[in-house]
Formats: sequence, structure tokens, C-alpha cells
Amino acid sequence: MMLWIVLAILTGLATLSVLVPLARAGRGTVGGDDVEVYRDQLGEIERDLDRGLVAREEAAAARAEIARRLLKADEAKASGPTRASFAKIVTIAVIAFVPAASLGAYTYVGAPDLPDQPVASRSCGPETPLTDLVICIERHLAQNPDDVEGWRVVAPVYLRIGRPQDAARAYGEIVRRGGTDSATLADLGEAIVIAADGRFPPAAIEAFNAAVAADGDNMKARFYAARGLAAEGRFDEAVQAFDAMLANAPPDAPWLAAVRASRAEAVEAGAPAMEAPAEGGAPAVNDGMIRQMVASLAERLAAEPLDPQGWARLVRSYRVLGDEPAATAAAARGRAALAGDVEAIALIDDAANGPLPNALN
Amino acid sequence: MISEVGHFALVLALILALVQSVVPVIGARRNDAALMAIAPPVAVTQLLLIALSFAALTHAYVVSDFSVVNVYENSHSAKPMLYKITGVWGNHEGSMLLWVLILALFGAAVAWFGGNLPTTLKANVLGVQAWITVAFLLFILLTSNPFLRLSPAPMEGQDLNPLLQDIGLAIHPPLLYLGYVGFSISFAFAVAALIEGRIDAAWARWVRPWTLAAWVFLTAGISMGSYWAYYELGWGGWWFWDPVENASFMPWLIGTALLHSALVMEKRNALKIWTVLLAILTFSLSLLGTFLVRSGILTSVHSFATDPARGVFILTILLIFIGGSLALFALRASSLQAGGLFAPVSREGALVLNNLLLTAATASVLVGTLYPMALEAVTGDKISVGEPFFNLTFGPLMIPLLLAVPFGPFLAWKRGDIYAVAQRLYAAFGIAILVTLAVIWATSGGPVLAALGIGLATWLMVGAAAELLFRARFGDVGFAAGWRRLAGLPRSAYGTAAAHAGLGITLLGIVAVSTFEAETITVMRRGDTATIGAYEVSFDGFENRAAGTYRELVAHMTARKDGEVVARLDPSKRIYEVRQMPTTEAAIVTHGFSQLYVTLGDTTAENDGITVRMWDKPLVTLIWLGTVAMMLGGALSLSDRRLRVGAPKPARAAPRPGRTLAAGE
Repeated sequence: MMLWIVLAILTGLATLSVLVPLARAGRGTVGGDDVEVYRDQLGEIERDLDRGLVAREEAAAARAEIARRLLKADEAKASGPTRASFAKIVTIAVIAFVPAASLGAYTYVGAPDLPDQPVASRSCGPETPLTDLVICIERHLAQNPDDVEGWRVVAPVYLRIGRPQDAARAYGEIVRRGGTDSATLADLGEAIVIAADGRFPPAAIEAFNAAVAADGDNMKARFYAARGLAAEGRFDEAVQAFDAMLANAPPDAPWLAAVRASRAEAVEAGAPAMEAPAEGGAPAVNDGMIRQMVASLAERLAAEPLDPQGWARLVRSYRVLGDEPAATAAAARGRAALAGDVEAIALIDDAANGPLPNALN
Repeated sequence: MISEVGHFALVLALILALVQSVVPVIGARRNDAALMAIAPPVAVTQLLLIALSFAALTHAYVVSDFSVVNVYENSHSAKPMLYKITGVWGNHEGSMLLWVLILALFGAAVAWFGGNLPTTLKANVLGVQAWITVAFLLFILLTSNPFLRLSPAPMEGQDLNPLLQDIGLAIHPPLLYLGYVGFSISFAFAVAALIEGRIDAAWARWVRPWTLAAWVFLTAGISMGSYWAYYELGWGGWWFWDPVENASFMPWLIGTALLHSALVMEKRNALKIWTVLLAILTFSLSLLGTFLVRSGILTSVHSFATDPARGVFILTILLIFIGGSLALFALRASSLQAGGLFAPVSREGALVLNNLLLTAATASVLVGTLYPMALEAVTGDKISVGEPFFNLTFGPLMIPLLLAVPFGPFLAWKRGDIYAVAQRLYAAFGIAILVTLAVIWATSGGPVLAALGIGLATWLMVGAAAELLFRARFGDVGFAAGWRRLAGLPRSAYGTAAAHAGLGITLLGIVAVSTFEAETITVMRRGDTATIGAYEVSFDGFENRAAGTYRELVAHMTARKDGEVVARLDPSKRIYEVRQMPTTEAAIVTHGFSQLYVTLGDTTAENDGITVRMWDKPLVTLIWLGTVAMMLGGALSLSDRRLRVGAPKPARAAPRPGRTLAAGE
């Protein structure tokens, strides 16, 4: 209601700004302040002459010129047609047209029912859409940085929406506030690895080692710690660590394939330094070829990121190779590159979470 | 509610502009004072409404109201307040709103200051101005509406393009638009004169201040934009012949021509038809510039708009206004009375030469800007016309123009004596030659062209000063009286001298920096030292920092000269988190008129070192200081409101026989 009152006042004022001069001038004389203009100019010459800005002969010439124009303007004024003014017609037209057209056009383009929603007045509630929940939690955490539960909620979400750096920061906050359980430490390391595009920065290795130290049965931590060894070039130790995992593995463990693949990789990478065991040799060769293809695909996507199919293929390839961190990282990069394209993101999500083709398993 | 009031105010402004574009023009035609009288108050109301609308959008940015699509797309709640506000015009929709705000501002200014305009001319001018307003308000409301809403509103915005998060953005576009849009007034005057079929020297008296004001703003806008690109893009260049730069440079060139031809018209009542044509062309090129930048036809930093609907709409506006005004010109130009006559060698003649060369230069820039686009449209081939093209076309046109500049103010109106002028300028010429020789000697066989360029710059600066000194007649009246005469010279004389000298200053900067610049690219690790020019720059280590919406890697460096610490440099590389966009922030140290410019490249694979690019740019700041002198000249000339009636000056003495024919020397 308030809005419509303001709009009505604005419309009224705008209409008046047309009607008032129309009515006023209608009462005055028609045409002819040109004569005034030239009289002003004559006065200006005198002033300039007094101030010594123009020479006497120049002023005389200018005076003659203006006098000529003045005469002409006077003639025009005398002979000017004084037809009946359109003022009345225009008055009626303006009263009808301005309010109708402006309010009509506004109701067509405007959104009078929507209130302002400044950010300060926005609250997070059950009706907040999922995409905004992160922002709600972030604002909450900015106020209450010691809320470990908050960090726990937001960290995996960051990873999911392609912000691994923030995920690492969030896990770091948990660890800093005493959340030094094995699972959190492993998650921290994993987030750091994903943020580093699959590389193993020292901080990540430190986190994995701490996680293994806290709980020797944390398979995720052991797996990453072993890969960390391989990343540091300590291939024999890595292979030993993988073997230790495989030795005690239940036969239906979901991570078996990943461990085997990583072991094969470590074996291959360390081949010049040590004897490659017969087991897994053939797939390793295959693996190498595929890895090369995958690497070139990743390179191409880095240069031309607007390729949803390509990202999906890359994510799937990493998963087939058992390189989950790289797959997660690639999916995150793909989502970031194609942000806003819902179909493309669905495609990548599908590749990241859906079933894998059997061809290589 | 505030956003909706802003939206409505914009619609209401459109409706009022429609009224203003029809009623006063009919009034002028019928000589009906009542109808003509509505133009000024309506123009003012329009300004108030558009200002209200702009304020409403600014409010939405300040409080981060993401229910407004435009705010959601271009802002972020964590952005510093300054960039929240500058973000209002840092995007397509908002900048178009700024465009019409300035258009309305100029319209209202005509209403305020146009008290001594003849009634019909004022009504027609405001009517034509309203046509432009209608076209652009329709464009905004139909294709680029900044007040569209979003429901449910997102919690967070998408942030502003990081390149635009800079103080330069706060100033550059408004200045540029003040220039672009300011020329709409000269255009409106020109079209109004064509409609009335009447034009006289008084017309030029009214047009010139508007043109001059627009020109000063455009100069400031271009110069500011050039400096912004120089320090923000991190390439160390100050002019790229980028189509967007050309888009603002073309109206400037032709506007400069307009300024000078309006001078002839005001003083001598000559060149009338030509002046009208230039006024039309200047604004046409401003519209073309708006089209190039706003249609998304170019892919460059500035083109934050890409939408074919918009392009077609602006193209239509362009065709209607340029085509319409040129057609009107073709129809009515013959009805305008041609003005006074003058000899080829005269002040008028010099200004015609200025006009011809500037117009040809504009044409060369126009070809260089549009040809690649036309070729791409026709054949699909993407070619780029860069510096070499402009050096070959624009450069040679500038040399005779710059050589001629000092002669202009010395020549008498109507008929001049070039031999006498040459005599008065021989000292300036001698100094220029000496400077040239000195540069050749100092650089011992260095580039001769550079020495000639510096000589030309000296010629411009000394020539400008010589004009003032000559007019003070130190030689004839002695020092004390000469000094009094110098102080008593009209401000427009100082304006001319400052603007012409500014040209020389800018040229000096350009020549110095393009010839004597030193550049080093090297990988530096902590503790490394590199030499650039007379400086030794050592790398003291990295620092990671985060602020607002970005993280940055800062490289701390120290510049030493002869072992003394002169400056600390902190170039950095930033990542803007929301858009995941990297930018480089150059570190710039000014010493004298020169600058040391350092930017960062990629880090080494082991993250222990970084590629560093360093330039020593001698006299580079003169490029922009020269434009400041030009602006100052324009402002001085603008403040000189002496009467300039087109009355011929009686010849003081008959020209000496035989001398005028010897003009070719």
C-alpha cells in the first residue's frame, strides 16, 4: 500500500511539472524573448568594453551585428503567427497519458509485491534453499568460530561443491579446536590433497601420519599415508604399506580395487629401483597407457574447460584407475568450470557417484 | 519497496521524455509558447526521477539486496563498501543507467543555463535531447533492466569482475560518459539548427562551452582509462589500440576538430555547415562507441555485456540517430547560409587544416577498428589490426598536424602572413632543433626518429609559450609592461597555450617511454637481485595474504640505487575466490617523471621462486600529465566567458605585398 502511495505522489508531481508551465505560459505572451536575448547581448558588449576586454572598434562592429539580429527578431515577432494554442489539448492529453502510461508500463515490468531483501535482514531457516545453507553456516561460523559441529557440517559440503581449499580450512579449524580424532585428520589430509590437485603437500602427509598414529585401523588414513610415501618417492615403503593393507583385508572390502591400483602404480613408478613383482604387471602397463591418455585429457580440459562430457570422462577415468582424490578434485574443478550449468553438473555428479563401466575392472 | 520506487521512477522518466520529445517540438513549429515552455521544467523533473532511480539501485547495492538480479550478479556482501558503490556502474545495466543519468543531467543543465537561448531553439534542443533519452530509456527497460527481481532471493552474490574492483572504476566510466554524453548537447543543437533552418554565430557561442566541457571530461576519461589499464592490467602498456579505447578516442579526435571549427564559427561566422556536420559526427561516434562496448561485439576487458538482443537494439538506435541526422543534414544543409570568406593562409585556414587532419585521423582509426569486425562478419577470419597499422596511418597524419599547431594561434583571422609568423617562431624552431641535436648527441647514434620526436615535442611546448610571450610584447614594451600585459591576457589565450603545450608534454612522454624504456624478465628466488635501469631490485620473500573477497601472494622487494634503499615494492598475484579469477597487481614506484614498474608471472615448479617482469619507464607520467595540461587548457578556455560575437575585426594594417604569396616557404 505504502508503495502505491509513493508511486501516486511521484506520478502527481511529474504530471504537475508538465501542467504548471503549460498553464502559466498559456497566460503570457506568445513567442519573442529572442528580443530579450539580443538586448542582453548588447548589455554584455558595454560591460566588456568597460572592463577593457574588447577593443572599441570591435565593440562597435559587434553592436552593429547584434542590432541587425535584433531588428530581424523584432520583425519576426511582429509578423509571427498567433494561432490558437494547443495548450488545452495537450493539458488533457498529459493528464490522461502520463499516469496511465507510467502505471501501466510499470505493472507490466515491475514487481510491486516483492519487498526489499537487504542481506542484513535475511535469516536462515528451514525454508532456506540448499545452495544458500553454506552461506548461512558461514555467517554463523564467522560469529561463533568455536562451534566445531558447524565446521563438521560445512567441511564435507565444501568438498562437494568444489571448494576443497575451504574444506581443508574447515577441517583445520576442527583439528585446531581439539578434534584430533583419526577420521578428522584423514579428512583434513584428503581435503589438502584434493585442493593441491592430487599432489601431496607436506601438511597432508603430516595429517595422514597423525591419523594413522591415532588409529592404526583407519584404512582411509593408511591408504593415503601409503600414497604419500609413494609421492615422496619412497616406493618400496609404499608397496610394503599397501601389502600390509591387502594382507588383512576382508575379501569384500570396497577399497580393495583402489589399493591394488595404487600399489601397481607405486610398483611401476619404482620399477627401476626395485624388482617388479609378477603379480599385477600386465595391468600396470595398461595403466600407464591409460594414465597418459587421462593426463592429456586433463591438460586439454585445463585449457578448454567448457566441456561437460570431457569432465565426466576424466572423473570416470580417475575412478577406474582407483584414484579417488584425483577424481574428486577433477569433479570439483569441472563443477567450478561449469558453474551454473545444471545439466553439466548433473553429468559430472553422475560420473563421480554413479556406477562405473566394467571394461577396466 | 525502495527498488520498486526506483524502477517506477525510471518508467515515469521515460513517459516524461516522450512528452518532452513531442510537445516542445510541435510548439516550436507552431510558435506556441505554452507548448515550448514545458521543456525546461520537464527536463529537470526527468533528471530528478532518473537520479531517484539511480539512488534506489545504489541503495540495493549498499545493503546487498540480492533479490535484485543486477546486485546478485555483480556484488557480494563481503565486498568493501567503496566497490559496492562503484559496482553500481561496473556492469552493463548499471552503466547504462549512469549513461542516461548523465544525459538527463546535461538536459537539465541546458534548462538551467539556457536562459538566454532563443525560445524555439531551446525547445528544439530539449526536444532532440529527449529523443535520445527515450531511445536509451527504452533500451534499458526492454533489454537491460537493472531493477529485475529474483524470488526467492539468493543469500550471496556472484561478486564483481575483479579487474573492475579498483578505484579507477569509480572515476573512469563516469568521466568517459560525461564526455560521450556531453556531445549529445552539441548534437541536439546541430539537429535543432537543421530543423529550424537557421544558424548563426550566436549558435556557436552556445554550442562551444558544451562541446568544450564534454571534451574536457572525455580527455579526463580517456587519460584515466589509459592509466588504469597501465597499472591494473599489468602489461606495462598505456595504450593498446584496443577497439574499446578507439571507441572513446574517435569522438575525442573529431570532438577536438569540432571545438576548433566552432571557434571559427563563433569568431568569424564561417564554416557553419561543416561545424554542424562535425557536431553530428562527434555524437554519432559516441553512439558508435557505446554500441561497440555495450553490444558485446568485442571481446575485451570492457565488454561485460554479451547479448545479441542488446546489440540489435543499440544498432537500431545508432541507425535511426546517425542515419536520421545525416539525412536531415543532407536535406537542410543547403538552407543554411554559408559564412564569411577567408584566405587560405589565415587563422581560419589553419583551423581548416586542423579539421582535415583530425577528420582523416579519425577515419584511419575508424577503419582500423571496424575493418577487422567487418572481415570477421563476412569471411569469419579473425584478424587483428594492431599498433603497426595505426603507426602507419595515424602517425603520419599526426606529424604535419603537430608541426602546424604552433602556427595556428599566431596567424591573424581572415588573412594571415605566414612569413611574419615564421619570423616570430624562429626562436622556438631553433630551440627544437637544438634539443633534437642534443638528444642525438646524448644517445650517441641512438634512434634518430626518437630525437626528432623529442624535437617535435619541444617545438609544441616552446611554440605554445612563444605565443603568450609574443602577445605580451616583451620586446616592444619592456619587461614590466610586458609582464602586466602577460597577466592581462584573456584566459582563453592561456587555455590555448596550455592545451597545445599539453600535447607536447604527452608526446614527449610517449617518445621517451617507447624508445628509452628498459625491460627485464627474470626468475627470482629469495635473496636474488636483478638490475633494471639504474636500479637494483632484490627479492626479500613471499607472503600470503587474504582480504575481503580475494587471497594474494605478495612478493616483497626492495629497490636500491647506488646501494641506498629508494623504495619497497609489493607486487602481488591475486585470486578472487568467488569468480576464481586471477589478477596481477603491479608495484609502481614514481621517481621524478619516470616510473619503475614490477609485475609477477608464474611461480617456479618448486614454489620457491617467481618470474618477475620489470620495466624502467622514463618520463612515462608525462603522457598523463600532458592530458592534465590539456584539460586545464580546456577549463581555462571554458571559464573565459567574454563576448565573442561574430563581428569582423577591422584589418589593422594592410598585408605587405608579395609576402602572402611566399607562404610556401
